[in-house]
Amino acid sequence: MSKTAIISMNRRRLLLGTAAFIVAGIFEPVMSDVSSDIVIQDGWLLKKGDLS
Amino acid sequence: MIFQNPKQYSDSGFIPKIIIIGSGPAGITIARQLAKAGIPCALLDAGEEDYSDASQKVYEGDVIGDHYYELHEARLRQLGGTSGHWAGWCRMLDAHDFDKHDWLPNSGWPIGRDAIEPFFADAREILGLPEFRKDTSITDSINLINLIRSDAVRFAEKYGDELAKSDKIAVVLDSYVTDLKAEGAKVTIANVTSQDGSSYQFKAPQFVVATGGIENSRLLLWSNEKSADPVVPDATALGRYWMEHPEFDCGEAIVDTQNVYKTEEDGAAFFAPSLKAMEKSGISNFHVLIQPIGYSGTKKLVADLACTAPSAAHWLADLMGQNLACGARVNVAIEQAPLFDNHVALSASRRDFAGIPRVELKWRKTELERKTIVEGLKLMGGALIEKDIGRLRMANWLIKGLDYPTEGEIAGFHHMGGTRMSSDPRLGVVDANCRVHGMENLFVGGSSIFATGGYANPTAPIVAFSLRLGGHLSSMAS
Repeated sequence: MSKTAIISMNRRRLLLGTAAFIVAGIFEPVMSDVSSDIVIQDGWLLKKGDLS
Repeated sequence: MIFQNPKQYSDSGFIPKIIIIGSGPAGITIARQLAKAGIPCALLDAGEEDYSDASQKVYEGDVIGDHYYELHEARLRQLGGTSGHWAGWCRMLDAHDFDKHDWLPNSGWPIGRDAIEPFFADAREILGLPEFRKDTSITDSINLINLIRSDAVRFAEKYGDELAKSDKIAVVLDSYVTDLKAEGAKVTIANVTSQDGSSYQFKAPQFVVATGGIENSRLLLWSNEKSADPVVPDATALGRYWMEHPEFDCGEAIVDTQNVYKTEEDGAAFFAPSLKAMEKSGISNFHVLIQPIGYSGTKKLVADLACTAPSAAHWLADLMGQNLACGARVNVAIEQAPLFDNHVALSASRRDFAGIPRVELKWRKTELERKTIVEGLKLMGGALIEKDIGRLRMANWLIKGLDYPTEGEIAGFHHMGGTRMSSDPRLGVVDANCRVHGMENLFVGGSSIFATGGYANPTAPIVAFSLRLGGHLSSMAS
């Protein structure tokens, strides 16, 4: 691979980045709420009042 | 002066007091310190002045464990080392990064941050940095931090002329140090091979290994196999406790931009936990990047939020209509605990052109990293709620407990540990002065000495540590 290709690829990885996800799950899902006032809904961290 | 190959150097009659192996930010910084003190040194690099495929190929190796970048793409083997593709982010380690923490395995340094603070001003000058701003407390748990995006210094470009003109520094290119030979507690010879296969023996009273956070371990491991007397007498920790800064896109946010925080020029902002929050949550250090995205992405985020939380969506949509809110990507980079099992080893089956075993990097993340990301996002999201300045959504892979992403950013190209600093030779390779335990004249420079990695990008600390080592070697030599 050429120098230009390596450097541009590395910089792209360092500076931009895009996430792609794989589906083989081995970790515990995030289920617990944060506190009595903050809940997790559809991934959002929210105040209970946000849901009204 | 710059010699293009070891033969030119051998013919020159130059007599160094110190041989520095590796011409990256650490090696060049140490050499410049020595030259300022009038101490002649040879600065060897295995590569050439510019990139070459042949040189880069020596860095090929295998990663066993978690997905990682190709090893020959994660560093550069040429004058100036990996500064040639560094992105320029700068921050020093936090003071508490040097402390032992019960919740972070194998944490603690034999020195404190105060040992390198006297070198920060010179490090900033070398890297062309402004003063570091003080961190700002957002909540008890989260601070706005100052991570400087510098015009990345390419050490070969910035200091090439100075090296060429110096009569105290002999830069020797195409000089691949394959192994060191020890007699008793002293290294006596550096065996050198050039690309054409010629072999040389370089001698000096002192040696510094500064070939990077992977190669330092490789060179010392192979030297221990080749040398009759060991180069690292207690090799228990050699190659071990290797660390990276795992880094992932971990979610999105909608943030109020009017009075939230002082952002960087592109609107991005970095946050990190307080020590109290780390202790309470039992997590390692990390930083969160909140970086604005475009209008269409923001609109979609608000629409998604409206489905779940109408009240919050109406509030943020109103702000967005006034150009006072925007969507953002949320990227998290984390400190990795130094673990014995994460290590650099020599391949039993693959060798390079000089017959030296290639690297096998054995590296896995643990539950601590996952916990740090999740709890860290809760702290960050909680801070946005507490100050009523935005809302954060965790990425699907975290919510559903899927494996880590394997594309895009997965780590920082930050190679730390392998010859870590410890006062105990069983737990580390170098002492508080970066001298290899049990050896009188062998020192190590660069991020392989890091006992822990914090979350700070390592280049600025590398330069500060190198200035300290250069000063120490100068006082010894004079």
